[in-house]
Amino acid sequence: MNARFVVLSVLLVLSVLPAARAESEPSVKAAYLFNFAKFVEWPASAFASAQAPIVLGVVGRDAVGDELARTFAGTSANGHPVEVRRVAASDAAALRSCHLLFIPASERADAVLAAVQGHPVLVVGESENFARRGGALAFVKAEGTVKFEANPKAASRSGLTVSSKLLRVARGVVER
Amino acid sequence: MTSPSFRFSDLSIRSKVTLITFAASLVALFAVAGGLYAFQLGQFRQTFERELRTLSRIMAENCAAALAFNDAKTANEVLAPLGVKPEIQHAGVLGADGENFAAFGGKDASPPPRPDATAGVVDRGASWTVVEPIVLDGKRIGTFFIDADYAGPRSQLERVYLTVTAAVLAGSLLLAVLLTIRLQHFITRPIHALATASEAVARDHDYSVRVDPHGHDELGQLTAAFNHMLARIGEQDGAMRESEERFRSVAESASDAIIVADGEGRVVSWNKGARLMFGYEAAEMSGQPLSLIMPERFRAMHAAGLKRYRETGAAHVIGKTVELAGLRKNGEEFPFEMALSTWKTGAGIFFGSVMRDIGERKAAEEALRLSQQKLLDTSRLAGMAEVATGVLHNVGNVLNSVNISASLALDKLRASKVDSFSKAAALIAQHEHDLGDFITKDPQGQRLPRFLQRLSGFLTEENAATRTELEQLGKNVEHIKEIVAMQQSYASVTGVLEDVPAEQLVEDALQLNSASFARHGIEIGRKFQPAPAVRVDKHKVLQILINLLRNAKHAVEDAERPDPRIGISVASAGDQVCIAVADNGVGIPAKNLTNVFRHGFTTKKNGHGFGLHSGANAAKEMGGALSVSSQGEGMGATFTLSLPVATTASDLCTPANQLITAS
Repeated sequence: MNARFVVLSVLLVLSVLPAARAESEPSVKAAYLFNFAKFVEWPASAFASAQAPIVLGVVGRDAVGDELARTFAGTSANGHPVEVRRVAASDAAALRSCHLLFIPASERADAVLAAVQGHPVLVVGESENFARRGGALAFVKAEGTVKFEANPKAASRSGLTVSSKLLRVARGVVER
Repeated sequence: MTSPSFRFSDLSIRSKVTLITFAASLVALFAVAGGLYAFQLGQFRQTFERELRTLSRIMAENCAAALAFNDAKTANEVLAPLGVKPEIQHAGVLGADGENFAAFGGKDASPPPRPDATAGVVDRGASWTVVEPIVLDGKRIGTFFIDADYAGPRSQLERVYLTVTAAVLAGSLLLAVLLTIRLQHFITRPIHALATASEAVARDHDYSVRVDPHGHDELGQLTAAFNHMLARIGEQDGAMRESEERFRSVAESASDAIIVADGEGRVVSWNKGARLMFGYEAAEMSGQPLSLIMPERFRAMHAAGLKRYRETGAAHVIGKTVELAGLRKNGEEFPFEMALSTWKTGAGIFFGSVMRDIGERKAAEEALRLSQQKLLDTSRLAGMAEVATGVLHNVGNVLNSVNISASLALDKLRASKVDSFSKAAALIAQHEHDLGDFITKDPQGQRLPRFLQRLSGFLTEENAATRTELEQLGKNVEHIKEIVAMQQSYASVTGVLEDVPAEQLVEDALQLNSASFARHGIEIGRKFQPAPAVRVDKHKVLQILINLLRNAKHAVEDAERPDPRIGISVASAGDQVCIAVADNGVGIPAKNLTNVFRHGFTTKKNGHGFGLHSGANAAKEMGGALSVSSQGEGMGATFTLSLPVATTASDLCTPANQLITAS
């Protein structure tokens, strides 16, 4: 119980909370996903109540999902407790119950997009041209680091508003 | 301008006003400029800080996404617009662990803030560091900071202020000069006019100078008051001159010596009277000690008196009239009477003395006394002459009666039948031997007895008549004796007051005039009420009464009335007894009523106007009075003589006696 211990603990916590940029790609993506939630606005109807959890869903089994659940489950975003779910691409109801849905490259994106079309679900993918194909956000690799592209119109079609700040940081903005 | 002997109070009002206006302008200006600068500096600092903090907050907000998504490039892009603010030297974004994430500007001279630094400003004087944590969804994800140059903008502000202040100062001073020039018209000029006027008044004693008032402010009031004061001083000066002139004129025209001396006894003022009295000229005496006009023997006393008065204020002769001896220039000593007064002024004590040469007055007094004595003697002689005239007049009258009686007796004797008796006796002697026959036979003898019988009757009658005349004669002689005796009795007691009954005096006076009254057929009426004795010089009273009775007699004679009457009454009135002599003669016109007692006033042809005058004086002397009343011309007159009642010791004791009888 000395000061040094307290400082060390604080530093440890601080180093863990934000995205650990020096970490692996899945953990970076997990952190990005968590941060995306903070720059997107859902319609009020998307939540049952002000305390209702915000559900971050990951389609299929993926390291990003693991990382997300490990790091952010139980934290909060925009005042909502964070809940991390793994959902099957075929389970349309489960897909639609998520607020944010990450579709790893291993999954078939088009089917999931079709399943959640018209529902307030922020779809984030990492397959090629995902944003052009109707995804709101898409991870891309650039200069050796993880970046993302945004399609705000796709997001708005789902009733979501993407912050201009996020758009500014985005690698590219797809307007279709 | 500034010399070692420079003093503000010696400056002219104009310079003072100018200086004061300058000083006031400077002080006001510096106060305003200083206050404004301090305020503006505070404002500037606040604004500077607020701007930087606002900027920091915006930057922190805008950098949040870039930091969240590890996008240093975007972060740098976000920071780039800071270049528009020249005071920002350096800005940076630190990651959560304090690592540099993005930066703007050159090398950061100051150490970057700690990763846990709170929002705020680190003031290092010339430069500030503004710190703003970067927070995303309530969690701190990094730190934004700006290093700004504070000294530069501040010195720029100072330069602006100095320039503006200098410009305003110059403008204000110019305005102050203009104002002073303008104020001069309103303040300096009236004061200057006042100063010039008062200098002229002080120099020339000319109180007719007036200053033009310029308005109704304090200066205007001052000017008006100054003019008013001058007018008052002028009036007072005039009044003082007039009074001084009057005093000088009075003092010069006075025959008395009027001398003013200072506290040292030195002559200050010497009038004509003094010159005439002492023989010294005013110029000769000015500043000389008063002892010069005193005989040697009084000088020590005079010096001691002066010294005493100066030291103790005790005066022996001030306010009194004293008789002293003076010394003329020619050495002659003379008596004078002096009244001394004293007064104090700012210049000290002064003595004023009015001196009168009483040598002449004393001589005049003696002459007056002598003439009065002479007059008194004359009056007494005149009075005595009056009485003597009365006496002689009466004696004359009585002698007339005596003469008549004697003539009548002589006539009677002449016409006496004694010779018939002798013839009868001779006839009887012839017939001695035949008396019987002769009587019985002779016819002549037969008539003899009847003749004798008739003769006897004649003789008896004659004897009676003669005896009557002789008795009358004797009476008249007795009367003369009485008059003479009375005159003697009055003459012998002159000047002695005696207690006598008033009626007796009245009766004596009437007695003295009775023959005269009888001769002129004047009826005398008496009315004597009981009256106490009077204490008088009876000779004088008799003189007065005789005079009054004679005047009354003349008055009724002149009136030529068929019934001339004189009334005389005695009555008691308090401690006086009044004797009134009234006549129904010519009376006295109202205009003469006040003159009758005046010396020299007379209506008689041969009068000398002395009788009533001396009578009135004598009555006054004895404690009485003589008065007159008349209804007017032809209405008669009444003279009233009041005389004091004789008061004896027993009279005075009467009240005590009454007390005894009352109890």
